[in-house]
Amino acid sequence: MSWSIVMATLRQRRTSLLWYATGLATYSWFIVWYFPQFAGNQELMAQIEKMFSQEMLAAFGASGMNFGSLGGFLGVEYLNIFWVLIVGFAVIILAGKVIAGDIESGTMEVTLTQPVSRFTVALSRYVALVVYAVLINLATVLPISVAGALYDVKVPADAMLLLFGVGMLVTLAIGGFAYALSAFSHSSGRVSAVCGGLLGAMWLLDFISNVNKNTEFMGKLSLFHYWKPATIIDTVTAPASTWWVFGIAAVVFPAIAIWQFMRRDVAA
Amino acid sequence: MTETVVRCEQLTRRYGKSRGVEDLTFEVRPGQVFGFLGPNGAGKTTTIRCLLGLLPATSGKSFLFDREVKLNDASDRGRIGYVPGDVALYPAETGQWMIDYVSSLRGTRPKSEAELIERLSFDPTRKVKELSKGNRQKLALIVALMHDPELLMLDEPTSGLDPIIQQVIFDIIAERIARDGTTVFLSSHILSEVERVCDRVGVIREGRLVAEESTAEIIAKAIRTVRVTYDEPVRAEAYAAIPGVESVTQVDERTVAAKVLSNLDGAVHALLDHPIHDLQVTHASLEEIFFQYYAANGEAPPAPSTDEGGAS
Repeated sequence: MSWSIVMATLRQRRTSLLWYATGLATYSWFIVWYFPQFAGNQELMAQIEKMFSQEMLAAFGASGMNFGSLGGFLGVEYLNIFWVLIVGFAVIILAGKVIAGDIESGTMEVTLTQPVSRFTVALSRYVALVVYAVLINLATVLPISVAGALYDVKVPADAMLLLFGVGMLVTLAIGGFAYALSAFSHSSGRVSAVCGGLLGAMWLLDFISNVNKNTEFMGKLSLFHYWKPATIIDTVTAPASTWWVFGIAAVVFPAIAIWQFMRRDVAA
Repeated sequence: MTETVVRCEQLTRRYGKSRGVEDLTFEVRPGQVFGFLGPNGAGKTTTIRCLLGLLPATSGKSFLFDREVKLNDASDRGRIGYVPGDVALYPAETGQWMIDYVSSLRGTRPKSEAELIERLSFDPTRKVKELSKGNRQKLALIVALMHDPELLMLDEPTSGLDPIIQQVIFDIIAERIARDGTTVFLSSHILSEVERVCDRVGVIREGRLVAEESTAEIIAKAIRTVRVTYDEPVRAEAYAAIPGVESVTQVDERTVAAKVLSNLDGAVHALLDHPIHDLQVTHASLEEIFFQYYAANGEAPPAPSTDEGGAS
């Protein structure tokens, strides 16, 4: 692995990293800040919940959730859908840029005409993606803990640690898939479009599976089905299927990406 | 001791059904300056990309420093300096960042960075996106030369540059050749620059190598123009039937110019049938020879040397 390539890759994406991290940190902070107002007014919460149809609650991943718990509130307002979309797009764009985008712009030649193997380049770029994922997951979890301490909200450290761990796997599963696609493509835009479309389709599948018993089986095809932040925060546990699905994706897709990059054309 | 620095053995690269390069076989020995000539789209960039391991060959093999080029083997790339025709650099970074980045990948500090920056009057503190094409090309040259490589691969290095910058770049390349004995593989469609520095030339046409000879040989084989000014008026038609003479033109009433394809000795003797006032024999330039290769195949000559580098 080459740290020069890791640092250079992160440097190319420094502005987007700053914006995503700032946005996520602010979002996390605000959600925890106004959580006590809602938690202290359960009757109002129940009324608000009744205002929405089951379909609408399902659309936001809020079916059967307890808005009064920190996990339930964070899940509905932030982590179930919006966080996945924000973090997903952040790593999809990065993954698209570091191989397909770099070839598309011709700058990959600068690196590959130096004494570094393709394996080193592909591995180093993936490590950069992992570091990027660590930073945006820390930008999610740390402000929740800090804001919890400031606004008297009990945020268990072990729950945050688990949320960070599973969040990393979710991020790397999405990023790894985009990275694999990037290794096959000549266009970062196409990578973003395909991955973004798939993420949207998965959200739709999850929604459909939640509103009708007959379509429940479809949920298993969606990553949203395996992402249970409310359970992680409230019970400090994650289902085995969560670990398996995201864990396997986070390992297999980058391996495919590296294998493909070692044999592909590198020319704009 | 390396026997060949660059070698291709029946190298073929296709893009789906499209032609890239076909059955290329040639070699460049240590210290040689090899000109790779051909119009845009002939396959020059494809050949270089195969040699650099950027593109896998469809069939055949290529070798650098006698070692077969493998996509994932970068062990000899530290011995190579590469200047692409269409330089792509990270636009948000400065020239100095590019220099440091490449140095960190090579694991050594550059030997001649300061000298090159000074010679080329380059400002490394400016961002790439603020640089003109000429300055980006200068940066690419600094990055390629600063570690004193054994092999320079230059893919239309002066395309799109003004003559002054072209001159500076070729001065530096010529110095490296003279000083370090650097082996050079120069792809170009600008024949004057090939003629200036190369001692061996390969001509590529539609992906195939149609000629490979020393620059001197290729020029020696080519048309010469024998211009004779006589003491008295002559008629050009009188010399049209001389064996080896392609055509004779009347320059003025006492001067004719004969294009001699072969049998120079016989042609000159036949032309000297009257007392002469002046005699001049000129070689065709590499440019004219290049056009000959195309004309011989009944094709339109390639586009003139208005620089359009890039992939082919």
